[in-house]
Amino acid sequence: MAVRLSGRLGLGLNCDTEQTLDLLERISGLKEGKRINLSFQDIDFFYPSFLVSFMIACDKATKEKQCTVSITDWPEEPEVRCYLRDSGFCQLASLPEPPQVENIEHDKENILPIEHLEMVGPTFGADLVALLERRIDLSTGVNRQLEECIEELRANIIQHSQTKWSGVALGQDYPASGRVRFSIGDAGIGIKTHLCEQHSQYRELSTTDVLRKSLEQGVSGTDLETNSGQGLYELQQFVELNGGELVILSEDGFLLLEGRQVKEKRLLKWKFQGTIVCLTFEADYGSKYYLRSELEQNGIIPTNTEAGDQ
Amino acid sequence: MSQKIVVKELMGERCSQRLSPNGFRDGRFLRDVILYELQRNDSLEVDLNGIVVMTPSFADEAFGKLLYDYSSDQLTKQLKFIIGTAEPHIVNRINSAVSNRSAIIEAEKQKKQGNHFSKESVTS
Repeated sequence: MAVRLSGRLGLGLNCDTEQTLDLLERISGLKEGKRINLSFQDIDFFYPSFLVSFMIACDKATKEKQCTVSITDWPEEPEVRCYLRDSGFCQLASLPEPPQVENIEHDKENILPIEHLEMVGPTFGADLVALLERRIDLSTGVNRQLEECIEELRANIIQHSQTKWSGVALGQDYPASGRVRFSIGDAGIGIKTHLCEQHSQYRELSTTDVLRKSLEQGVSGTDLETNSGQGLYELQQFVELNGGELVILSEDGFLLLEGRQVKEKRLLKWKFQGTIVCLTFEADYGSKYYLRSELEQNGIIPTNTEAGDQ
Repeated sequence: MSQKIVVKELMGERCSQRLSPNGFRDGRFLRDVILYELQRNDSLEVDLNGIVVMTPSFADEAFGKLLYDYSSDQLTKQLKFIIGTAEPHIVNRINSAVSNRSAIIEAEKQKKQGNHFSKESVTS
């Protein structure tokens, strides 16, 4: 099978989501031992959400079904080729470095390279928050809490993904557009399957409704782990306040939120084996983010400012 | 006899993993160290100086699950926390972890005795 891709690949608004989902479906649906050849020649842009979901889908197909995924043509644009190198994608996917990028220097400070979650260092969450703080003014408390949310997500994936390797994550600051994008994903059993193992009431719900539920406080895959179900909830709270974007792809469910609004909620006709969470944070010049407790400690009760629970 | 554990020396300033793949610097490791010291000493000081991050999962694994081996009263008597320069929310994290784990243990007991609690009734 040969597939020619074009445009801006990723999941979310301003991305070619349909083409990305179509490609993931093709890779996920490969039969044992089959091959797919991909042409990246006409691609203008790779979002982190594409690289993470593509990595997971390919890993699953190649390791479990001995399929072959090969790239027959690299992107024509040198910057785009360079990004594949500097994001760490080529190295992690055991691909050769794209041609003719030796003399091109990408701004590596803008990238939190793609990496397996067990391999990232203890400052992984802090490094992502540092990317965010280039665009958004965060109090110390919010800084710490966001870091803990990211680490909580990572810990949950490592603990619960039920696969040999847990997952991957990639972060990127886009100074030109004033956005920070972060994607994290695993090749596990999926959110609905995981929640249904412990809570029979979710079995009656559609996958997209379960994904919506998974963003609520305290929803977790196990009765016995306390304080679970906080990572996604608190991140979603922050993205909501920020007016950013949250995308979840898990099994046959696809959910896209912009700020508080559900922009898209779709049941797919195929299943992505795993879960991808993609966050886009908007540059929010002129705003500062505080925890409620920080304001209250200083005698300030939030009234006119927008406020989430925390 | 009293002993002291300096969490930052054992775990670094960021305590995030409940269970890590290699069992190193995770919540379970810290709990094992605390249990080991509690068996050999009348009291134990847990020094949280310099801790900047503690995830809820870590707090539950390291401190909440101590309740499977010691009662709340025993822990109050034997375990002392030194906050020092730790981030202010760390104390709340630990308190919440212990409180929620206590509720879970109570629910488990009730379940074994044949009384069923819903998750909503035991988590705050």
